[in-house]
Amino acid sequence: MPDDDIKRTTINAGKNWCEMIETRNQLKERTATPDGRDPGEMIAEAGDQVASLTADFLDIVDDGTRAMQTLAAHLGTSPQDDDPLLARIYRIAHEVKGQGQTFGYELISTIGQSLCALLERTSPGEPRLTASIVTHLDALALVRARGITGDGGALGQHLANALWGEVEVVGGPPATGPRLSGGNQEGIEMPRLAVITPAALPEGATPARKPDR
Amino acid sequence: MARYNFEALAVLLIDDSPMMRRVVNQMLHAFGVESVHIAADGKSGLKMLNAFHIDLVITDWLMEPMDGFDFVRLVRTDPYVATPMVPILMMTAHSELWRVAAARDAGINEFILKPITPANLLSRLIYMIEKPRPFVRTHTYFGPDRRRKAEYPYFGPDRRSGEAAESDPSGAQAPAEDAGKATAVVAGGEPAAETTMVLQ
Repeated sequence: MPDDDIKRTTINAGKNWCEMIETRNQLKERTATPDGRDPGEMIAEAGDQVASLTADFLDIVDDGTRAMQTLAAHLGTSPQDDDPLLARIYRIAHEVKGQGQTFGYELISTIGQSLCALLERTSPGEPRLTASIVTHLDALALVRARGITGDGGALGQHLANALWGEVEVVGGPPATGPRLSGGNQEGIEMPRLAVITPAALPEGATPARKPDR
Repeated sequence: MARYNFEALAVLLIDDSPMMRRVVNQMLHAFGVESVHIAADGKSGLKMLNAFHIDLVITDWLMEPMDGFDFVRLVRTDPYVATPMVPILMMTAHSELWRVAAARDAGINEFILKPITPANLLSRLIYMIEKPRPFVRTHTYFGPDRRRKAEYPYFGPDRRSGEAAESDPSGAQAPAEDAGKATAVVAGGEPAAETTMVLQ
């Protein structure tokens, strides 16, 4: 950017020295035009584009679930190798967590979030960790097998609460800084209910809904 | 309502997840962006930033070998980066306050939480267009001014009547939950010595 387009103002001197730098609003110059498009139209078109990727997302969830199940099956066979296995599970869960809601699968995001929190908060060597990971993966597989979309309604809420109960029991308190490859989750305090197994979830799915716009 | 034409905008998108790259790329194209450069991690992103004209960067946080945090820090501080003041939008599934504060202190302009939706992505883009932040250089920081509260445009269905015109450059207003997160991004403030500055 040419120097003529930059306005520099020194505010303080000495140890509190501070310079304020203001520039032309190039983003606005390039984008805000009277003959531009309406934001609502852009959102509608983008929503359709995202919806067209839903099948690919579900393939990723299914492949990821199988991969995490394979990784979890190897946990404990040689404890010194557990950390890289857990890190790989975490990365897959993190991806599932970050994308589910984009495609209208909030419950899948919630389960991924719970699994990430479990991995972030649980001390290495915690004997209940593997079983709790498997419970989360069973829940994920069940949601997919039954075609549950959205947040899963009351059943989904119950399942989410139960999984979060696992996190609360098996994991430690939320972290306040970096740990593993992440920190604590949002600090959400969810009520702890009796832990149910995914197999106990009755048949039924919430109505399908379009991805969030 | 304001209208926008993103055809002339060149965006650098950095994410290690192929699916997220597809999702955000599709959204950007649907918004009208014709030039989207894509990188899979921060290191590749830096190369692209120096190789192409880039108007805006959208980067993930958690990537290997170079994550989004280090990418932002280098863009703002490395003398070999040609455009240290390029606007940067960081997207992440991590919403912990310490992460938000760390990203802010590294020099991001705005922060967007996953899941990314067309509405919240467009809202952040429009906010960055309409409410650019001046840059600040101190002995310990170079990046966008960290003090201003954000008011993001909102495109959802529950808009309250009578408030839209004040806060939203595009004619809508921020949802309560988004506004809270956004405030957390920028509410940390500069050191006391700098708070006497009047920006606008």
